[in-house]
Amino acid sequence: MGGRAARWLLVLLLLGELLLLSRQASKRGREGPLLAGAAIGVLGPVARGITGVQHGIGTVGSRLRTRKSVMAENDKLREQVSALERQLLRLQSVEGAFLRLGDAVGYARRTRQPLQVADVVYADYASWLRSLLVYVADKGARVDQPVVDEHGLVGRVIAVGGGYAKVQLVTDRTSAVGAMIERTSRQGVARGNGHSGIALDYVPLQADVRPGDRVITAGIDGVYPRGIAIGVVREVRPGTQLFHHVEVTPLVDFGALDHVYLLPALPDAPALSESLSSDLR
Amino acid sequence: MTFVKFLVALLGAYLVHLVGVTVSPRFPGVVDPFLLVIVWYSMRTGPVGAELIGTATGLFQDAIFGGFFGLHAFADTVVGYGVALAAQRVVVGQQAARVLIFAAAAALQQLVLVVLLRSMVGAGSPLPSLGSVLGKIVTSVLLGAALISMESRARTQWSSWQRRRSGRLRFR
Repeated sequence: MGGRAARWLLVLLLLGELLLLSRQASKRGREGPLLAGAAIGVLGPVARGITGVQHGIGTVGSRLRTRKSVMAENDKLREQVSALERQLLRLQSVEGAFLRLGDAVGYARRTRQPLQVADVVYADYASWLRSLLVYVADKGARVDQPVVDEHGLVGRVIAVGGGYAKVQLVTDRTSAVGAMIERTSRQGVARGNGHSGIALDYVPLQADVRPGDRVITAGIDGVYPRGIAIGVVREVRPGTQLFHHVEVTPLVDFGALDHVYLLPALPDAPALSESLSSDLR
Repeated sequence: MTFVKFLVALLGAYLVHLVGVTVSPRFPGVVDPFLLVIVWYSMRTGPVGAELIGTATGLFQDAIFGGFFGLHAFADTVVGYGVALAAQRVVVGQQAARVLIFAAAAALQQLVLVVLLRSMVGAGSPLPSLGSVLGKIVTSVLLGAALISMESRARTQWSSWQRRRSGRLRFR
């Protein structure tokens, strides 16, 4: 009897888990699986506490050892800040002139989007999954929010829970980004290779693409806005009968991420079309 | 009480995972502390308990690792059930049998994960390398053997301490 009960329970559990897996294969909700979100909300503070303690211990040790070099570095950084502030003043006047010119010729200028800072709690490079756990505090996050750093595109939010969010990196094997070659505006799909690189697919053989070309987001996939840097073309060789095989080196150093920025999620397609329709009336 | 011990062991595995990931990002690809918890408790309970232990641990892993939620839960449920069945049929008092169960559990878990990923994602699914799979099996065997050795030593010391304590009481 016990054996029969165990077999029935096994069947029920496996069917439930298969149902859960199959729903995720097609679903693209704003919050992600509820259980995943709840678990992240519970486990995130523990992970943050432990990495915080480790970071604190490491910080105390390095401070004791490097006081003199830190003071010298501090002086150097002050000089750099002064130089950057002067450069910022110059650039602000350039930006003002650009915006005025844009208005004058009716050019649709890029809106300045608010950036939401998030601390990286830890990076998980399990054998085939590439993700980050970030802390967004009480500001919250939404699934499909693009994540960037100072150098370029990091990935997108795939699950949220409490004040934490899980980010799928662009180098993950299941990641796909609508991309384009900045120089020629030729579009393709940037897919992660599961290690540290990206492949740009669906670039026709007759397209002009060469090593050194910058690859940016095309804004065609409904997730990432246009113009975010992804990487630089490293190698181009013939692929299939129709398309090139293009290898791209990401601009972001995923092993050195300390904090990232979350961009606002793009509006849903139905909401976007309704908004456009009301504008046209 | 066993449930509390399982929860403590699960938390311990999570701490080991966190420290390991901080030391090296490749740690989870080679060492699976959660598998050790599943095999350890599944050998000591019946198939029903082992399935629940596998499901709970797998859901916990999925919440940490990301990707498809339920992937590790499916694999660990199968592993828990398999280990419990093997423990009923094999004399697990022998150390060699227990070590073999650890190896078989690691291999079974990797096989189920690969099959699931292939069926869900298709031919382009990311598969673990052979080195990674062998590494997980080897580390599971070594860590499982170390755990068994520590447990038997602890039991011996505990029983000798109890004998000494009861011996002192007798002569009062």
